[in-house]
Amino acid sequence: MTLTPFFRVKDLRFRYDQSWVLDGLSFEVREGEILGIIGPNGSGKTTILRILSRVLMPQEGEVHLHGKNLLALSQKEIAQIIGVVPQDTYFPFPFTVGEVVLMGRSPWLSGFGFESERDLQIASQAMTLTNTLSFSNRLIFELSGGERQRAIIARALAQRSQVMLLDEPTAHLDIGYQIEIYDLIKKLNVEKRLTLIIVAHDLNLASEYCDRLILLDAGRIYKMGSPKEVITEENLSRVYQSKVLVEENPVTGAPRVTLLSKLMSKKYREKRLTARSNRIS
Amino acid sequence: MKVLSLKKWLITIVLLTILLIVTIIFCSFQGSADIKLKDLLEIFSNSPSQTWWNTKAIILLKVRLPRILLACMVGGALAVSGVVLQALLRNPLADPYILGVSSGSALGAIIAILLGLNITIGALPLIPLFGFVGGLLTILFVYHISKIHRKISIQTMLLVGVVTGAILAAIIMFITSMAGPHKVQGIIFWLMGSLSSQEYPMVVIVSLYVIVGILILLYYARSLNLLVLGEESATQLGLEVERTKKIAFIGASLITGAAVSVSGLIGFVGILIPHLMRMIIGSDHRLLLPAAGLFGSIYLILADTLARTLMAPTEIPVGVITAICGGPFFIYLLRKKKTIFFH
Repeated sequence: MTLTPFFRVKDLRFRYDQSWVLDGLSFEVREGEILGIIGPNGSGKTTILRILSRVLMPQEGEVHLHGKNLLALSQKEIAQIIGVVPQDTYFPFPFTVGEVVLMGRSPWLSGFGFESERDLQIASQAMTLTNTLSFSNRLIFELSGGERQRAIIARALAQRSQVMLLDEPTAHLDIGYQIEIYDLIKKLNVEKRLTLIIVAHDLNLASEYCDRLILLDAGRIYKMGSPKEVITEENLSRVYQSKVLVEENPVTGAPRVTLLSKLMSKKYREKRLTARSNRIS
Repeated sequence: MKVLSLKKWLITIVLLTILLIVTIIFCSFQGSADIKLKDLLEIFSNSPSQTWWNTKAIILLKVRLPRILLACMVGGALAVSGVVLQALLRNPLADPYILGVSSGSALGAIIAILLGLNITIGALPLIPLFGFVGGLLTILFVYHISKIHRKISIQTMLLVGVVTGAILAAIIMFITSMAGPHKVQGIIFWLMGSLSSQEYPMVVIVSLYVIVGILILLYYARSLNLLVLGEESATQLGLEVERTKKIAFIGASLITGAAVSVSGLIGFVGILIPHLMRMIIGSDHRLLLPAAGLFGSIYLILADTLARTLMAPTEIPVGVITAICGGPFFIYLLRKKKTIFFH
């Protein structure tokens, strides 16, 4: 794995209105890695993806893509390098899966433009890879959540981008689909040498699949490093304000997180027991 | 994988164009005055100086044909405007009538007429221009009122559109009932729509607006596909969203304004035709937009022919026909293909 930085983010600050959502972030994304961004709700995870894909412009700081300032590129040039998979896409009209995947070719087309044979070929390759080719003629909103998310990943793949940003790609999916999507992500990383940045809300999946993690806390990087360095009881309980148990996954060796209810903690249970015995006596 | 190809595009467009031409010819020979195809041949075969201006030729070429061509332009404009507004607002319920754009255009045109601007300055006819500005201001107003924290609330937008349209319609009713001797006729013209009493110069001008507007919108048809995904996804697929939206809003207002300023408020074409075409040919705007335009033309020509022949010599307002024929059919489609609209 080469270690040339893909993205270099320096002193990034961003706000929608009054308060800073991102408050001085600096990090690098290495070529060929899977970088996970974790953190509580509202810590600025999705905002980072929006800035990296230049949907939003930061008020302060710089983002460099392959050494070039992101602001110097056209939206089209950015889309040729960066593909994005949103959390969920609402389709108000009956588009077929094939049509949606082909939209991934847009950064390479201009004007009215019909897709060429080559565009069709790239789209069907993307669909083969994501196992969506068999339902290419079905309407996108007839699919299950997992199938639809795979189709959206195929669209991002059809962009032939070098990096893929995924925003909680498994947020609405059950565990079977979650594993399926993350296995697909891993496969793309290994086989296609794709660099991936994933905003993850599931800490265990992030821990298992990501090479490095960024733990955000209120718009700042609380901890950055390998899953073993980031997923610790101390870090998580501090940032998430909640008790967790971290142990080693016996199968993979990655850190595994168990959530502990405040109601279930030993101390609390003891208190309740003594209270009850007091009442009885 | 079945997706849009140049071949499918050409075949569909050519077929619809042939259908449109057939409709125009067929409807030219419908009406209270009995004119047959052989009469037309007679008109053309004789030397023009002698028989050219006989009654039949006048009815055919100076009464029916301009009216049919106007219906062609207005129907196409309303249907395309519906397609574009639905894509821009990501909302299957959007159309120029419901969002108040039509009423805004009508009010603009009425103001131009009241100010005595019923003239052409250079190549710029002022009535359609005022219609365009009225429509554009209305859609911008509705759009910005519905914008809450950078996001468009679709429910709010429909409500604001309906209310704005109602207010504008009330103003139109007030103005037309105050002005002019033909009060009732004026109100009927503006609120129910009519394609009668327009002459060639106006038809040519409106055609110019509509054709230019539709060509511009057609160029952005692929971008409309991306806008349907939402502004964020469209940006991430390389689209300059703000510029595209601006051009699409202006284009839709241009063709709506031009159409409404000569025909009044004709409902249902803008919402019925886009959905009907989506069910038949799919949602890809590169084909949907021109196909809806052509089919909107055909639909309004047929509706207007019914309006002038059904109870001749009394004329039914064309908006009544578009609603009575279109409404039940639309409800039938909704029942049949529920999943497409409510998922």
